[in-house]
Amino acid sequence: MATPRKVCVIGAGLTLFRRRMLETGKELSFEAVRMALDSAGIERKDVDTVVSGSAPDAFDGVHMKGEYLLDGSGAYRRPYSRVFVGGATGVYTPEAAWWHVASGMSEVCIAVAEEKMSPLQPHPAYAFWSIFDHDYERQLGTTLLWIFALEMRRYMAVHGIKEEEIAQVAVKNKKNAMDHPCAQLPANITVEDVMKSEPMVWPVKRLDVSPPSDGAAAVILASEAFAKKLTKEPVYVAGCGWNIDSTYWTDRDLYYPQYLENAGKMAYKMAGISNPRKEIDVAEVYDPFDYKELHHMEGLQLAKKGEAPKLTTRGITQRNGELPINPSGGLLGVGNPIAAAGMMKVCEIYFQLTGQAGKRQVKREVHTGLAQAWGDLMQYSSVFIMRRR
Amino acid sequence: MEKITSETKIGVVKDHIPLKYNYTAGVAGDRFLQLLKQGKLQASQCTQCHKLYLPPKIFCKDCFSQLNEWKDVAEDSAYVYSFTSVKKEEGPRELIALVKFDGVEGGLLGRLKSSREEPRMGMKVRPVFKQKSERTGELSDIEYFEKVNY
Repeated sequence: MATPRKVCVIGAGLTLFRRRMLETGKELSFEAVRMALDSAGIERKDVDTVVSGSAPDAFDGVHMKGEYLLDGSGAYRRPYSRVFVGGATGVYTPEAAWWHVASGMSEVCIAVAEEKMSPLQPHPAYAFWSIFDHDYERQLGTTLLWIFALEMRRYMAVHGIKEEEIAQVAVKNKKNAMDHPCAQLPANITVEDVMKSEPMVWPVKRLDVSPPSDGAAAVILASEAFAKKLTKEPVYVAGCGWNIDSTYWTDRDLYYPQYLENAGKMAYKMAGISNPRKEIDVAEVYDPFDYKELHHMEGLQLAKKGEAPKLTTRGITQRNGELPINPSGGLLGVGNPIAAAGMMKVCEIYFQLTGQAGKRQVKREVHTGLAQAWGDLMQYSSVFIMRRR
Repeated sequence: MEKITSETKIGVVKDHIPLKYNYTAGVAGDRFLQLLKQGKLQASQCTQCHKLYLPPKIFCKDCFSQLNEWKDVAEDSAYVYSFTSVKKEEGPRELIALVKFDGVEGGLLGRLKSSREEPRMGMKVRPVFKQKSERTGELSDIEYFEKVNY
């Protein structure tokens, strides 16, 4: 196999995340890409390829979302494609952009992720009815919350984890989000608040869950030669990994995300990382639910199986901790416009690596950071690792 | 990023997209559901790696061979793998369980008959079928799963 070219991240941008924005999907994409171009100090004329990422068409209500979004994505008369791997799309989009540059086909590639969930009535969650198996699951009225509740319950049962331990994640992330200018649901809450919040599908409660949102986020990838014209110390793409489990989710054990372990190993191998717990300085792991942060830390080998709640209790995952997790505030605090939420995590790692995270900057020195997203029928994971020299 | 938009002042264009679908249950699904209508629960078997699949499939996702063998699933092999309690817009709170079967890959999502006793993980259950005349060849022919003491 030919060795891929070195690829750098040269800019990032994101919009506000809100329940409902006046801006259309194209306009949201434009705002994020414009900010990313400005952050890199380049113009659209410098860009030769574009990758757009967006989750189910049913949210926006336009069943050709890639084409619909292209003008706002900066893709007019450029080689362009849309990628889609459910909730994992946001972190997969810069990986598809990486192929473009690493292969030598492109010098500068925009990776932009958009989600406008608010058009769907009466609630965005209705889009998820149509993702389930029509013969075996829809008749019961299955919703995503049900299967997450089954997974959370299984994770708790196998390791003897308490709801209160899981609730600590929501408390931490919503507090972190108070320092994020784009955040939708920043809050100073307690474990008790989470425990007392409205039960949705037991054991999932209102404050265990991230909110649906409208928003967009983008990063720009470039060859090392191009990046070095802009800065002496570029941020490099160090590792990419992606992996999928069976669509028959009832086949799985649910308590451990093996597909994520596989995706992580793929990215770690490329990045030359043998001990992720020691070598990853900061991580943005996908947290649409509070238990998912813990689940994902374990799948990524950042914690042993069943150990993530203990690390959280000890404060290790706080911004000033040894292994800061979701310093942005995550999906629980910043919001969850599906694909854009994953890309927000990629942006956050870029900001952390370049010292641009402001009040969110983690205490420890950062050389290597990881962003991860998760989606489809709880089966897909994408892992993106960035590093500065 | 600083352009905060007021959610209350947003005008909307309303639309409705009418789409209807007629799905097929597939080769394996059709046979499985016809058997279910007769009150039988069968899984398809991979003769290469000996996995039993429920719901049945015509292929093994692992070794990728074609599956032609079908076997009865032992009724006393069913147990609650995970469960939750859900409340729909209408109707009372219901117990929903992922039921797995010893030695079988996969499982079925279904209602759990409530009893005074709290359900627990690993609890032995059995499928209860609707009356023969009421069965339609759909998964709902299993009305619910109920606790059994073997």
